Amino acid sequence: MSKSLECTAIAPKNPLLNASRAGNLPHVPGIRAGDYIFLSGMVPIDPATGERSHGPIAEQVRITLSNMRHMLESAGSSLDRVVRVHVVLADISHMAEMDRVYREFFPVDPPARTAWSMQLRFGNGCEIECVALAG
Amino acid sequence: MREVIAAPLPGLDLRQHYGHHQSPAIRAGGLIFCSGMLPIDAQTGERCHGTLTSEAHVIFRNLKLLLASAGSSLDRLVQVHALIYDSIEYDVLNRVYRQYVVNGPPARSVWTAQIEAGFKIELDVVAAA
Amino acid sequence: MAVRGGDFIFVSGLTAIDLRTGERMCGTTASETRQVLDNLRQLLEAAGSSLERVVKVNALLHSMLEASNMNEVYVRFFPDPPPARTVCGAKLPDGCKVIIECTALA
Repeated sequence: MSKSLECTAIAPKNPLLNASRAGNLPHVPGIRAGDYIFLSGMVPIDPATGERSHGPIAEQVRITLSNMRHMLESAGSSLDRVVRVHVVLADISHMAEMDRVYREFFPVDPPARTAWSMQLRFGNGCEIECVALAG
Repeated sequence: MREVIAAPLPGLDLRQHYGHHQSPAIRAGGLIFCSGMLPIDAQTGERCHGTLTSEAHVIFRNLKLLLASAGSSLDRLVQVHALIYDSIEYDVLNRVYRQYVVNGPPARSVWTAQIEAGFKIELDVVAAA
Repeated sequence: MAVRGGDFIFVSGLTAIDLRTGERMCGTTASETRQVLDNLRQLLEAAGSSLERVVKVNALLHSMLEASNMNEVYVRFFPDPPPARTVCGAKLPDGCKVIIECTALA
C-alpha cells in the first residue's frame, strides 16, 4: 500500500553553509526522502566566510539562491530539479527586486513559487526554502 | 493513492470542533501531509493556550498520536514549518523542539506568522509514511 | 504555476487574478478566495489532476480575522474528504487578501 521511504540527511560540501551545525540547531540543512529533497530555509550567508550578508536585497537573494544551488548540487540534485520554492521577505516592497534576481536562477520552466513577507530573524532580508527532485 | 488519516482522538477533529474544512492528514506518494497542528486537547478539542513551551508540548503530543495512527512517527519527520507568533521566542522554540525531534532531525523553516486563535505556535509537518 | 515532480503536482501560491488577462481581481477575502480556487481548479484540470486529488493546502491571509470568510468559500470547492491544510496570517504582496498554494497527486 504505502512504501516506506528511505530518509537521509544531506549536507553542503562547503561546511560554512551548514547553518544547522554552526548554530547547533535542531535541524539538518536538508533531507532526502525517497524521490524528494526538502531543504531547510536558507538565509544570505557569505560562502567564503560563513558570515551573514546584509547588503541590498538583490545581493541577499543572489547569495541565498547561489547557496541553494550549492546545497542541491552537494546532494546530487540541481536548481532545475526544484519543484517548489517558498520565498519569505522581511520587507514586502522587495518583491520586484527579488523576482528580478530569482529569474536569473530559474530562467526556464520555473518551479512553483509562493512569496510573502514575515518578520525574519537576525536582520535577514530573505529566507528561502525549496523542495526538489532527487538526482 | 490518496488516503485520509482520520483523527485518532475526537479532539483532533478540527472540522467537527471548529468547522475547519480539512482532514487531519493525508497519505500519498509515500509521504504524510499533516494539517497545521495546534495546541488543542486531543480528547475534548479545547484550546490550550499557554506559553510557547506549554503549547509546543501539546502540539508534539498530538503529532505523536496522529503520526502513530498513520503508521509513522516523529522520527520520520521530513519537513517542518514551525510557525511562531514572534521571532523573539526562537530559542524557546528550539529548547522544546529538541526534546521531541531527537534522531536525525528533519528539514525545518521557522516562520513568524499570525496564528489562529492567538496561539503562539503551530507546526506544519510532512513525514515519511 | 503548476509543476509536475514525481507523483505530485506542485502549484504556486495563487492570487486573485484573471488567468487570461493577468488582471488583479481585488475584492473581499471571500471574493478573492473564490477567484483563487476557480483558478486552482482550472490549473489542476489542465495538468490532468483535480481538486479531489489535492493532498495539502497552505493558505496565507492578510489577517487571521478573515479565516472564517475564507473557509466559507473554501468549503464549497473541496469535496469530502478535504485535503490537509495550514492557514496563517502574513504580509502579502500587492494588497492581496489571500494566497493559496497546494500539492496534488498527478
